[in-house]
Amino acid sequence: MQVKQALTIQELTVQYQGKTALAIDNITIPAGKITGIIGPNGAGKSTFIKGLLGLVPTQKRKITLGKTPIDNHRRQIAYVEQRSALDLTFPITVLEVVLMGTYPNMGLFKRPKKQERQQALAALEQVSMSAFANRQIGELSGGQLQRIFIARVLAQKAEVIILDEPFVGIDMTSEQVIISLLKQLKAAGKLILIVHHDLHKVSHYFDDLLILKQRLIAAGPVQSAFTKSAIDAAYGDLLGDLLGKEFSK
Amino acid sequence: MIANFIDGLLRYQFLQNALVTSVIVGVISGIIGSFIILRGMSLMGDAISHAVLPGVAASYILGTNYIIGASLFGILAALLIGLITQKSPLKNDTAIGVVFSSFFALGIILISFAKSSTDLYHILFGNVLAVRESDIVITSLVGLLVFLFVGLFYKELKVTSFDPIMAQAYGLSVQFFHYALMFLLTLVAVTSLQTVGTILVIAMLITPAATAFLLTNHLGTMIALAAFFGVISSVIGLFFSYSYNLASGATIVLTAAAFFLLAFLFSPRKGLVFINKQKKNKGDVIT
Repeated sequence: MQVKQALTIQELTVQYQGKTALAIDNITIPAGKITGIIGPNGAGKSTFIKGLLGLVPTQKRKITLGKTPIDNHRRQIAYVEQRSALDLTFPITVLEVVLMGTYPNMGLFKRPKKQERQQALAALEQVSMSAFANRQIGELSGGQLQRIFIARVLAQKAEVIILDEPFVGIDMTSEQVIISLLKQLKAAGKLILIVHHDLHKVSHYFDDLLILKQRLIAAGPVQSAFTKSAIDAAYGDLLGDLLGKEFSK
Repeated sequence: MIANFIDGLLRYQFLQNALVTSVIVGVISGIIGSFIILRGMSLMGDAISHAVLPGVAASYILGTNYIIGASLFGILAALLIGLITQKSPLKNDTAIGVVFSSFFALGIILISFAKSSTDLYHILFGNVLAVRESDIVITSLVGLLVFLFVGLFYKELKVTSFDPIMAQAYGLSVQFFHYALMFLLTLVAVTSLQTVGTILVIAMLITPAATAFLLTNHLGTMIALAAFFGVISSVIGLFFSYSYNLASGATIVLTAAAFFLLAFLFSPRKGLVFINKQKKNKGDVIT
């Protein structure tokens, strides 16, 4: 089996208008695990992802995948942002969206051919959305749409998968389809990073956890990182008390 | 009347030039216009087509080809709009409004220095019947460039239009495609200036594309349809312009608007008539 590579954040600082939104150093995110990122609103969870990918201006940014800078591996990184910004009236079908997953590895001037189409169709099959292949994307429900974006990740055959709030506002079936696929991808050694805001299912979804509040509050396996003191530190005492029974110790 | 038009076509070089120009302009403004409306940049298209005016005027004064001056000012306007949006808390549409009206005003003053007011009229409202052969060469070159660019970068244009964040995440330069499209937009605006004039260029860019948008759910089909509506609007408009001695810009734009109205009302998927019927049917089921 190929040796999978860990993501190492030596330092990452993001400032908005002179105010530090996030300052992180020395975290290693292992491959073959599902790592959750939690923290209160405004903790910098999405900023962390965007800074990691270089999508927002950063003050300090030293991140490697394996031994080389992350920016050398962009084609192997699949990112699904919060379901919001996209124009759902765009003249594009479900299959064409999934097909976009094959673009990063195709190179300039090339067009998707039969092989790419098959790759996309297979990915659609995996999320049980084949029947919708020719629908315009605006016709789908939130959960179905999220499954399409997961199919796009599959079609990209990425090594690093980053999802921002993938479970918000989706139906049970979609959630189960996505979770079981993510577990398969994890077993295949992929590095999976998920921004999440619902504390209740933390130990159900994730192996490892990063708890953020502008800086790193806690990191590591869920059993050791998801503690009352860490949640207190991130969210304030009240929530920690309410959630008491959820913690592993 | 149609016989008269065809007779004229066979007989007069100027009418042949007009037809060729109309067809090319119709195609390329449909193609570029499709990307403009999908990216929500209609206002930007309007801005650039107005902002080329001082370039055209300066070229008249200097006696150079207007395409160079016009392109220069178009690009300058795009860059200035980008700069103001990034470096100030103002919103994009405000920056667009400030820049294009200023450029347009400058153009009006330059034109009054340059030549008589008839020229201004033609630049503002188009006079496709006055197209020269050297203009056709330029128009064709612009057409070729549009085809090459969209043909080669179709995939990249599609992904940067639909999901720029994904494009950026996998390493595409979204900025490059934005400015490349702005550059082409400028060239297309300059060439359409001949047929419809600066003020109405925006109509050629967005009306055929908007018509096409209402008729399909595929980007490729939309672009082809937009080009198609661009061409037939141009040709029919030219016919009315020639037959009734009207400004070609106005006749072309009104023809395009007529097609838009038809699609708006009767598009099988997105037309007003059909959507209302759907709603009615749903209502029936509930009651």
